[in-house]
Amino acid sequence: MENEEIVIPKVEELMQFASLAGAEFTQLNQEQTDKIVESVFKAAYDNRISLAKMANEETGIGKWEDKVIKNVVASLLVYEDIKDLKTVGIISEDKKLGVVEIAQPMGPVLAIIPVTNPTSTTIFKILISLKSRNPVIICPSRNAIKCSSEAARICYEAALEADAPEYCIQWLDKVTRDRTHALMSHKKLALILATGGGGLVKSAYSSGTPTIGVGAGNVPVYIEKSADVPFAVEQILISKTFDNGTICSSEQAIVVEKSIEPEVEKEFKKRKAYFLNDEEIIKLSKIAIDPNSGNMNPFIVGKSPVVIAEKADFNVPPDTSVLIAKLKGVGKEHPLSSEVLAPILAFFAVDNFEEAIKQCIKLNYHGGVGHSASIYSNDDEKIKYFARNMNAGRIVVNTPSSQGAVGGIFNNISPSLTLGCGTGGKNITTDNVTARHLLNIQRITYRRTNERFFKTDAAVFYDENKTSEDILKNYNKNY
Amino acid sequence: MFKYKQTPESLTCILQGKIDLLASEKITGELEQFNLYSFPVIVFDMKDVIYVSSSFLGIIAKISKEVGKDKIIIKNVNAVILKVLEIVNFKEICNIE
Repeated sequence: MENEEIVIPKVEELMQFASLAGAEFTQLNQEQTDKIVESVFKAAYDNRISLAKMANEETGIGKWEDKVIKNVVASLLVYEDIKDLKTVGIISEDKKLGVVEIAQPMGPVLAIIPVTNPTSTTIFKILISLKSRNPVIICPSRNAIKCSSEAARICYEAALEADAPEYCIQWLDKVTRDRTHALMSHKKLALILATGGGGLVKSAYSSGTPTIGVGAGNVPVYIEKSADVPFAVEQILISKTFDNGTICSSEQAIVVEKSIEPEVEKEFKKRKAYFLNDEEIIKLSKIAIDPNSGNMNPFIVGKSPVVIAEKADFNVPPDTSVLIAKLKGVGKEHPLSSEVLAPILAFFAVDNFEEAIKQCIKLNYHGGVGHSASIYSNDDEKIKYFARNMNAGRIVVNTPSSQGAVGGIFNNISPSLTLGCGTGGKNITTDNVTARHLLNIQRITYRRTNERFFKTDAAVFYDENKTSEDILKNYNKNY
Repeated sequence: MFKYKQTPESLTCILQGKIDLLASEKITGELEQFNLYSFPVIVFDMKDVIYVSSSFLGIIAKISKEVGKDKIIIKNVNAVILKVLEIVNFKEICNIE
């Protein structure tokens, strides 16, 4: 435990500065705000490669080349998505309805950054906070302090160059549980953007400060029999091998009908996927998932198949793309049916479409409620049936789910590194979180009377003998 | 840029325009010529101020801490700046007129 005498003044200082910056921010107009956001985007984009290498070096997770792409998404694609968004003053005006909407900043935001995306999520949260005129405090993962702080520093210098308020971006150079908790519950904090493990997200929710959190994923991918199988397999591998599977929307389990199982297996093998035997499944299960907590083992997160296999005490060819485990069921007794942010996939072959949907539901409800689901199909009826039966904020179709759910590359949902999981994931939204979620929207409402209400004889509302039908007859008369 | 009026009873700082980081640094420098403890009251007249930076707010907070809340008066602020002062709860550290 960190000494309270150190924690409290440090936190007070951070919050005092953030509060001053937030107050200054309220005076900026849209043009001044956009100038800051553009400057920060450019600086982040210009440093995408060095930051990616730093992140990979410091955490030992994933691949630096893929982290470059993550940084591009977080800077270029996010910027493109938000640059024309109105976030200051009047943002909409409906004269007919008499409603005018005014955007106001929320105030200081605490941005919790996961170890899996330490620079991209930092860039992303800074851009959306500044666009909405909110000062932001970056709380890095303990294992990625250097790279997240460097990303924040680069963005801060660029922001100041564009005349942003001093202290509009701050970051913790030392992360302790006490410091994080003191910040989370600070009365001057307006919002927590919590991306990270379940425990951290839960403590953010418990802090009493409004929180936009994310839930865990366990993404099923259904290759329906009308799908273009070689294409589907190729796309799944593009997704699952990306940064060694560290994106929470990456596929976790493949579901196929038995009629196409041989073709699917052949296509995976053609692309260097390694199908584990029963003994290897047992060995891998032991090291992938902690049997007591049921959580994934952090030491295999974002590691290559060869390294993971070595840790599990078996060997695979050096060019192995992913490890695939054919499982007999879903649940705690089958550890590899849980979410693992590594190039490991579960595999299920079932009799028919209905059984496939049931299998996907089981996977979806085994730790991934509200997150994302994926389907490869050329039958729109089946796609929609699949979607209706999933409890998922994003149902990605014929698309690599890692990149698809994040948005902006393969589809037109908002690019985001904070994917809302709805109430199923204990979140307030299923949206891809972006700048518009960081605004308080005021509504000016001009008088526009409800004609039917005023024409209705008010006495009917007080007459116990009048049914709802009687009232509606009166209410809708001559309308 | 800024004017200062001093009497035995008070020091009045008449500010104008945009009080950004640079202007705040200038004010800090200029205030150094005064012995702030010697004035019963220090007044910041903000009649012609259109913008205040966090650095300027920091200056007020620092002076208030040094000489005491009761001696600091901020007056003639416009609505935008009044809101800024409310956000940072400056009524706790100075008198806003």
